[in-house]
Amino acid sequence: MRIFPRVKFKAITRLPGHIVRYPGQLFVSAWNHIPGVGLWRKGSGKHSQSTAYSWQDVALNQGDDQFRSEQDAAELQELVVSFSESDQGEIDVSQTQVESNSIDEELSELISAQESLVDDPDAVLEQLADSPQPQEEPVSLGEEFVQPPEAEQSEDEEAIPVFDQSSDDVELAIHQPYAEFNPSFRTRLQWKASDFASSVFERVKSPFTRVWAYVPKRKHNDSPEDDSYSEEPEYLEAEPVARTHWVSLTLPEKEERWWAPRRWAQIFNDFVRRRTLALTVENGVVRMVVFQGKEAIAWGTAVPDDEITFALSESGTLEPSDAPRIATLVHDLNFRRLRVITELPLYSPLLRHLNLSRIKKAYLEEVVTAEVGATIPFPLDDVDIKWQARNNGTDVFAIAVPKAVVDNHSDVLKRAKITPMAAYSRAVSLSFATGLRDVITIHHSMEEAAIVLTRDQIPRVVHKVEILPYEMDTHAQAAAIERGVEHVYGYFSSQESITQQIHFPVVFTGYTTFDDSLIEEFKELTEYKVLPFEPPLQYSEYLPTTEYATNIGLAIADRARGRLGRLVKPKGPAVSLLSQRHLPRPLPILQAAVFAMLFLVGAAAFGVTTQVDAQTLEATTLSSRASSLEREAREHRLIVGRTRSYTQRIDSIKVLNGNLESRLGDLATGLRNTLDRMEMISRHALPSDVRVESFSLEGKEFNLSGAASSYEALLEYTSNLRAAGPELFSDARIVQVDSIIFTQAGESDGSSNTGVGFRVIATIPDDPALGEDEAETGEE
Amino acid sequence: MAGKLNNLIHKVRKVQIWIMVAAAIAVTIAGYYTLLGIRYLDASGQAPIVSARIAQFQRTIRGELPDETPLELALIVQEEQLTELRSLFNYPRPDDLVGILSSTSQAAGVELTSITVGDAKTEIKDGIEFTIQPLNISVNGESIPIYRWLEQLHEQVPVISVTSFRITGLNSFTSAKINLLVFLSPTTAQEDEAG
Repeated sequence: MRIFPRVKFKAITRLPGHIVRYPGQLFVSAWNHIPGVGLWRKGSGKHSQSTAYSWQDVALNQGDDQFRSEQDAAELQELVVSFSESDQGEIDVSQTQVESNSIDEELSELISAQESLVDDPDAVLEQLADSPQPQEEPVSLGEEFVQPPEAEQSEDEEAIPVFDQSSDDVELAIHQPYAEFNPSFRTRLQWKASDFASSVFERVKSPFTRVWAYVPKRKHNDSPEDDSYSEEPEYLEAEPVARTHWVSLTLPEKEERWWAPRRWAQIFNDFVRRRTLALTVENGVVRMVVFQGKEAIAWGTAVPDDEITFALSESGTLEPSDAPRIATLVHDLNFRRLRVITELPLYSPLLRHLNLSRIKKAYLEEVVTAEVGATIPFPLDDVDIKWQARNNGTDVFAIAVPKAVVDNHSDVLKRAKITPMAAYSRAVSLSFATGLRDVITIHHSMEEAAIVLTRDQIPRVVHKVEILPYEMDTHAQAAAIERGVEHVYGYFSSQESITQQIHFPVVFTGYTTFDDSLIEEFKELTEYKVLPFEPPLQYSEYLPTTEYATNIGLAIADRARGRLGRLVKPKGPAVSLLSQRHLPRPLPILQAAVFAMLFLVGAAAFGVTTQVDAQTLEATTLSSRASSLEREAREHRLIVGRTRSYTQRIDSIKVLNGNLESRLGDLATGLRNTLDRMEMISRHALPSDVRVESFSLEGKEFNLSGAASSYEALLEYTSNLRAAGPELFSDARIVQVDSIIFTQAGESDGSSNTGVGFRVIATIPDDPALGEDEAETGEE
Repeated sequence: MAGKLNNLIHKVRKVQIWIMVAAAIAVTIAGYYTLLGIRYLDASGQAPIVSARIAQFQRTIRGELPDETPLELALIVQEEQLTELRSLFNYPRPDDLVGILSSTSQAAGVELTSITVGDAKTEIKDGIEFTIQPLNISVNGESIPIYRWLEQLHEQVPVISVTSFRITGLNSFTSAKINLLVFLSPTTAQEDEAG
C-alpha cells in the first residue's frame, strides 16, 4: 500500500461532515450535503511529482443531519469499497476505518446561517446594505465544495489555476455568493479562507505545496429584464485570497541534485546558496519572497490572525502582533541561511534630492546633514540620515527617517527572531521594482494607491491617494489615481525645471491589480502609457508579481545597494535605512579566520618541527656515524700502512741482513781462500825439492818466486797448484825459469846442485770478497 | 619628515590591535618557519654528502684487518739480527783495530812491525754503503804464525779483506806486508736519508 501522508483530514473536519479516514489513500468527506470520495495517488517519481485527485460525487442521505451517524459512516465505507473497486482494485480497503468527527457548535451555527443565506439571498443583500460591517457571522466556509469540474469551467479557464495533476497542489475552491458586492464582505471571507487554509497546512507540513483558495464571483445579471444571478458560478476573478503558506514551484527542481537526495541537497543549498528574503507588510498582510540569485524561488503570505487587524492595519507598518506570524512563516520555510531585507512605510522616510556644488569629500557629510536637516520637520537627533552621492558629490540622494520608526520596525522583526540586514524605503523598492529608470509606479493596495515617480532610478516624488472601495466605483478610483499622477508629475516638473515634457510610463502594481477594469479606466482618463509589470528577475509563472511588487523591488534594490556615505557609480543607489545599532554585531569571522589560520599554521609547525628534527637527527646520526667510520677507516688505514711498513721494513732488513751476512760470508770465504792459497803455495803444494822464496798477491794473481831442483820439480809444483782446485787457483803458469845453484834444504853437508830459479804466476778465480776496486785499493 | 612620521604614527594607531597581534604572531611563525627551513635545507643537503662519505669509509674498512703482531715479532727478530750483524762492522775508531792487530799478533807470535791506517772511503756494495778503512800492515815471523795471525785477526775482525800481500824470506827471515780493507758502518740508502 502506498502511503500518501500529505493529506491530513483534520483540516477538513473543520467542515461539517463525516470523514472516513483511510490510511493515506482514500478519504471521504462531505461538504454540505454532497459527499465526495477522494482518491489521492502518489506519483511513482522520486519527489511526489504527480498527484491525482479525483472526486466522485455520491448522493447519500439527503438531510440536515446527514453523515452524523455511524450508520451513515458505514454506508460511506461501502462507498469507499465500491470506489476502490472501480479503481481497478489497486486500493486495499481492508483497513478502512470510519470515524465520526464531532462537529462543534460554531460550525453548526455557521451551517445554519449559511443555509439561511442561500435560501434567501435578497435578505442578505438587505442586511448588507443596512450594515456594511455585519455584526453576525454572515458567511461560512464552503457553501459547497466545488470540484473544478470540466463542465463548470468558464471561458476564463486559463486564468483559473485548476487541478494540476503534475504538481503537489491542494486546491481549495470556496464559493461564497454575494462576495462581489461588498469588499468588506470579501475581506471577511478572505480571512476565513486563509484561516481554513492555514489549518490545512498545519498538518501538511510540506513547503512544496500550494494552497489556493478561490472566491468565484457569481455574476449578477444586470439586464433589466433579468434581475437575477447567473446560475453557474463564474471563476473570472479567481483571486488568490489565502496564500497562507509558502509557495514554491521552482525550488524542488533547484534542490534536486544528481549526487544527493533532496534533503541533503537542501541542507547543502542552505549553507551554500545566497538567499535573500524580502519581507513587506501591507495592511497587516506580511508577504515574503525568497530569492536565490536573480530568481524568486518561494513566496508566502501571512494574514492577520483577526479580521480587525487585517482591515485596519496601516500599510507598511509592522505591529508587535505580526511577530508570531512572521516567525511562523519564516520557520516553516526551513531555510537555514537567509539575508532578510525589509521595507519601511511609504511616508516614514523622507526623501531628499540635493544638488550641491562640488566640495571636498571630507565636508560632504556635514553639508548633506545640514541640508537635509533644514528641510525635515524633525530634530537631527531624532532621525537617521542616509545618503549617497554621485557625480563627484554634486548629486546627493538622501533619506531621513525617524529613529523611532526604524527602531520599531527592527524591534518587531527581532521579536520574530529575525534580524534584518537592510531596510529600504517603500519608495525605493517601488522605484527599483519595475527595472525602468524613468517610471511612475502606482502601487494599489486595499484603500490607497502609492504613486512614486522615479527618475534615473531614484524616487523623486512620492504621493499617496486614498482609494475607498466602499464609496468609489472603478471610474472614481481611476480618476483619483489620475489626479495623483498629474500632481506628482507637476511637482516633479516644478522641482527639476524640466525644459521639455518627459513621457513617464506608468506601471500598476499591488495586491488588487487583478482588476483590469481600473487600469482600463485609467487609460481612458490619461495619455500616460501603461506598461505591464515585468520585473527584471526570474520567477515562476505562478508568482503574482504585482502583489509581491514591493518584495521584488526590495530584492532588486538590495542587489544594487551601495555603501553609505560614499561616492557611488551611477548605477544605484539603494540606501539601506538600518543603522549600525540595528545590525547584528558581525561575527568576527575575519579575525577568527585569521587567528584560526595562524593557529593552524602554528600548530602545523609542530609537525614540521618534528620532521625537521627527524631530518636533523638523521643528518647528525649520519655525521656521527661518518665520524666513527672515519676514525675506524683511519685506524684501518694506519694499521694497513703499518703492516705494510712492517713488511717493507722486514723485507728491507732481511735484504740488508742477507747482504751483510753475505758480505761477512764473502769476507770469511775470501780470507779463508787467501789463507788456503797461501798455505797451498807455501806448504801443501810445494814439493820437497822446490823452495818458494817469496810470493805476493796483486790483483788476481799470485806471483811466486823461488828455486827448484829441477824443472820437473817446478812443473810438479805448478801442477800441484793447479790441482788444488779451481776454487783456489784457476791457473798456474811458469813465467820465468833461470838456472841457478840449488841447495837442498835440510842437507847438512851443504852440497849444492844445479837447479832452476823460477817465477810462477798463479791466477785465482774471481774472489767475491775482493772486487776490482778493492784490488786496486790493495795495490795502492 | 616630521609630518610624514606623524602621519605614519597616526596610521599605525588606527590599525586595530588584533591586526598587530596577528601580524606579530605571523612574523614569529614566519621566523620560526624560516629557521626550520634553514635547518631542514642544511640537514637535507648534508645527508647525501655524509652518506657518500660513509659509503667511502665502509669501502675502506670492508677488508680484513691484518694481524700486526707476527710482523712486529718478525721485525724485532730481523732488527735484532741486523743489530747483531751491524755490531760486527762496528769499530768506532781505528785505534780499536790497531789494538786488535797488536793483541792478535802477540798472541800469534808475529812481530808487528808497522801499521799504516789509510784514509777511509765509502763504497756501496749490494745497496749497502760501507766505510772502508785501509790498513797496511808489516809483520815479521814464520809463515805459519803469520797465517795463524791472519786467522785470529779474522776471528776478531770478521770484516777484513786481504786485498794484497807480499811475503818474502820464507826460507829465512820471513816478513810480510799485508794490505787489508776493513768494512765498517754499513748503512743503507734509506738510513742515509733518515740521517
